[in-house]
Amino acid sequence: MANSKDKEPKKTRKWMKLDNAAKIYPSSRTSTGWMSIFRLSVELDEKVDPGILEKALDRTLVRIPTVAQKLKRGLFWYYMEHIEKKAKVVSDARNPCAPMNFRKNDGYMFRVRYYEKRIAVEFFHVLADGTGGMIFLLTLTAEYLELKYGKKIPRGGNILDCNNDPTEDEMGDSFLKYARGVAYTPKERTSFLVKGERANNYSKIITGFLDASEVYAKAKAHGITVTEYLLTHTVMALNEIQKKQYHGKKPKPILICVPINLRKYYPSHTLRNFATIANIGIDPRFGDYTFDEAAKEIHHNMGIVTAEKQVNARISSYVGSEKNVILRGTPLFLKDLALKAAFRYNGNRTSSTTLSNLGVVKLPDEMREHVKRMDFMIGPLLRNPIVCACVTYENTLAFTVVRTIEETDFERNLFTALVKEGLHVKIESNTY
Amino acid sequence: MSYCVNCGVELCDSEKSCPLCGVVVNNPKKPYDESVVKPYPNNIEADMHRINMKFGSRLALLILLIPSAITTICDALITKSLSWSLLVTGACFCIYVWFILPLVLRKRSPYQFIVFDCIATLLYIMLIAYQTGGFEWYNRLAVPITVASYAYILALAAVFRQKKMSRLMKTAFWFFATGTLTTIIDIMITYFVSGAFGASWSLIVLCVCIIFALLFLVLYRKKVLAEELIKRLFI
Repeated sequence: MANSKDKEPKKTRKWMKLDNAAKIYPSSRTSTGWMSIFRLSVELDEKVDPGILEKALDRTLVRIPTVAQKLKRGLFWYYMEHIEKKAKVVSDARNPCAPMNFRKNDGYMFRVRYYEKRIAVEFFHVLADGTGGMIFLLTLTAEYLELKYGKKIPRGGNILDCNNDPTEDEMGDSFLKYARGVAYTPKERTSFLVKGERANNYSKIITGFLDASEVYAKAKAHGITVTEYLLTHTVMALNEIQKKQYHGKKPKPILICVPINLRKYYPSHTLRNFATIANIGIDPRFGDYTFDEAAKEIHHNMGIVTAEKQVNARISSYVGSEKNVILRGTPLFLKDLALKAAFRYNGNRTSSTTLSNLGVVKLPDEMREHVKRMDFMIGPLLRNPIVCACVTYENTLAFTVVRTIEETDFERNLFTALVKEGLHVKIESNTY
Repeated sequence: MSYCVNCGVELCDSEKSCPLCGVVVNNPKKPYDESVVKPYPNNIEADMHRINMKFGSRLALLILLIPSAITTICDALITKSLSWSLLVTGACFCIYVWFILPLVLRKRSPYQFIVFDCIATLLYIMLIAYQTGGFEWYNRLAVPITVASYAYILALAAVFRQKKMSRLMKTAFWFFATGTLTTIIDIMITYFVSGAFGASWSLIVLCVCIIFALLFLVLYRKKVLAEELIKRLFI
């Protein structure tokens, strides 16, 4: 059911409510500066011109105003207010996804970064999910290429036309629109947590590049999808670590938090958050799993949790909590405390890591000749020291692992297992 | 292109060693080139700011000093001497030692904190004794019971931190230590009341505790008996 207040023309409105999924993110920030951040980047064929990039950013922010917002505190809820000041681009850093200082960033909850041939955008999750972020990055890149080379880039799909006005659908909260109301939340189990020596200076990044068609062939040979194939390898890599860490002790379930893009189920064009999560994995308490056994279990579990009815019941439970009269009437500072405590206690506890697969990105030929590579990474999580994300572009699957511990056991287990499967893996890192 | 001989992965030109295992790249045909463009720049953005424990502890100390100072001033102004305000100051000191000192010290050992806590408790009780003019109960009752209680905590901490010790042994030790502490408390109370050493009610507790301690010790030693018990008593 659409929210009646959302019918007011958004163009004239200078503020907006946080979408359903975004509501937890402001409260989940910690006093040490941790916040939920993700990053998307493209690598071009030439060095990036920051001046042109800034101009392209100005145009993109007019087209996608849901990003040009600052976070404000209301009496009962957080809300976002439109920023009139122009956004700046900044040079990249060795530790992407570092926490943002909104005050220093003019209130912006995202940053556009450049380094050599790369354009990267980092979002605080309150603004958008991976798909929304990707639309922003591709539109920004298209604008940049148009300004730099003066050629027309065809728009459509994930590349928006900056001459058009933003639509209601793009700016709306699709959770409220599509949740049917019957809620169901499955009971979550406490998952295995990787332990290690905390990395001192910055979060460590290792990206493995794989041939996407080879990965697809392997997944097909196992009778599973690419995401399930990567999930199984992730689970097995973690299982190896658990065997060492829990030597002789009762193991814990190994569950991976998998974001599910809801735009696949509903005709939404929102640029804000519209994804849910499911924890998928194996339970080594039941016995030692082979790769095929784990793949089979993950495949069937994925089939259940990604069924539309299940997905809708899940988002309905979130929407139900948001609509709860008592919760709505509770002052923000109390909500903040409760959400913070809940996130501290429960957040990331029910999964060993997160694996987000943005899928295959297709670009028009006019862009393809300039865009050489694409990356996707998720910033460090609060409790889990490892987080994975991947995206496929031009038959290259870039699998990025961000970790906050010194030990590389997970990455080594994962990538060597892929090599043993006969896949070619090329490694890049920020730890050179 | 260079490969890691240990992991079998191809490494980008920017990698001096394998990021997965640390093995240094050794490719005679393509030696490592320092000038190659790195995937990330060198500048590191300020990561999560760590909580400054030193600053936090000073702030906490300042907060504790406020009620202490206010009560001292009030006491001095009203009674023209320092009496009850010393108790507030003492309580603030205890709070500092119990909760804030563990955050300040770099080398954190539980035994060290237990000793500090014991000293702080003894000093605070001494202050109460000084205020109430009764050092007799302090020497004969408070000191032995406090020292015995902290020794009990210290012993339990030492035993329960042993990773290799069996749970049955730990439980046996807990029963034994609890029984002993109860007896010491009883002896001290009897001594304070009647002036002679003796124990009454605590002997029952001690007996029960020793029986349970021995039971757990026997179970620890006799695996067959333990299995027999598990067989018959499983729920």
